[in-house]
Amino acid sequence: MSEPAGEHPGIDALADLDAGLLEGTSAEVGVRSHLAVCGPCARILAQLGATTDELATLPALTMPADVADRIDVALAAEPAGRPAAAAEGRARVAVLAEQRRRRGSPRWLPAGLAAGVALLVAGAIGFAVFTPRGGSSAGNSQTSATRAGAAFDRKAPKAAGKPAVSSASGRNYTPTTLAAGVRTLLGVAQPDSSPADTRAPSTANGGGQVLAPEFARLRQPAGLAACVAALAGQAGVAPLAVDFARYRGQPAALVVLPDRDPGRVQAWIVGPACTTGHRDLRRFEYVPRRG
Amino acid sequence: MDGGPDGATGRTGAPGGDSRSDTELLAAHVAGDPAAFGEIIRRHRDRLWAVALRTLGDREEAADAVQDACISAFRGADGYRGDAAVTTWLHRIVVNACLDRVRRRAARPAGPLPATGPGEPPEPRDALAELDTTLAVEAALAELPVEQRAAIVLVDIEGHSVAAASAILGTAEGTVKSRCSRGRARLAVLLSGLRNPGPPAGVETPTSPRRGQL
Repeated sequence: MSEPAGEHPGIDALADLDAGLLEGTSAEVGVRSHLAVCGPCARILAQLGATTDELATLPALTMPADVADRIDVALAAEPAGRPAAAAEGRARVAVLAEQRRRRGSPRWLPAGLAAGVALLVAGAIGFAVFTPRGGSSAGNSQTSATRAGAAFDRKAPKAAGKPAVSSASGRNYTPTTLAAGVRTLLGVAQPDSSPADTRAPSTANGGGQVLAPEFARLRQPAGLAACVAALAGQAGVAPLAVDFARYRGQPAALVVLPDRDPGRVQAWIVGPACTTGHRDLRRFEYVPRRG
Repeated sequence: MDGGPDGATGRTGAPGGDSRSDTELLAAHVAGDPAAFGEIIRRHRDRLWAVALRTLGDREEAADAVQDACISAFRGADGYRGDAAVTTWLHRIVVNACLDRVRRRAARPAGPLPATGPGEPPEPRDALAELDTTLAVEAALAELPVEQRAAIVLVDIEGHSVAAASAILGTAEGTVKSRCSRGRARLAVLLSGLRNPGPPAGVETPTSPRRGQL
């Protein structure tokens, strides 16, 4: 084997060459001329090619039936009607408030959407935002819109309602134990539960477990309400239960919501980032009320 | 598991399946057609599943990520502007859901990969050699930084063009090529025990992070 010309370029440079990244550069000339006379480097290049071939011939995968079913049921749980009508977050209300400020009553909204959003906003703010007021001064409208936005932020938490059951069990839910765990949680429902219960010592994993600090926001009514709105796709849903626990070993929150079908509930496992516009979803499944 | 209320899971009346294009289906979904979105998912779920499973390396996480992504896509469908193919848009949502999960679990050490092959139950078979190769590739993929892994999964495994992958990942084509290049180099070393006669910095090190996160 002849002496290689110059330094070996190294596998990264060979991979770059193979990927077309060196095209037209001065490095390309050097690497190619080295390859012409260096057997080991040529073999590395060949091995890179073999690796890419191996990747290309991995078997095509099929989504398993149970995963496909889970997706179907999750989509079926979505609020009925146009996706745009599921006014999930503050962003949509802010846009509408802004456009209303500019145009007066939002005649471009279909009646159903206007009614739905008006209900949502009015419920949170306490006054009818969509009363046609084409003649109002720009100053007033702008103030109203600004106030509306701020008031919505402040008052949205109360639109959700507190959960019937609040818990911090620290229990480790897994895909196979989630349904039973949800039913257990609902079985101990006490209508008089107050949010203070979230500070109760945990039970399942031994007493005295420190509550994960990153969930402090979700343990507050405002944070929980924003999360519930993100999960339900609409505001104003009162959770049946909330449990600050674990999912597959990681700190998580279980939020149980009612379903259109009275025979079952929705179990949502979320992480600490669950809020308006971001579910931080770990898992969703339906749980029949009876085992 | 319950397949959901009739109609909501998108059974179509047409015996040959729905003949509408993806774009038409998405528009129909935004307009209120309850069956349209499910049809889109049915068409593309295998590829979305493959991307999620190979990027995350864990069956349950992949299922959760795809489910989360489908919900996001369902709700955010009115944000689809038509500048990319519907499949590109869907892939982008799925890949982002996967990347979020990987970055979130970066704090804890990577667990062992599932003992079975990708999503399939293990079978006694005469293709054991193929199974061994697949396991080795999955294990090697898990060693890559997630950005390289995602590029490799999209381009080298799932066969997307560099242009499509860059649209999915939201990065420049050159970046995708770089990530593929670095990923292939690492995989080649891991899969073949390749010995590199070049400068020691070229092999199993963190040269990539020194060039900035690829």
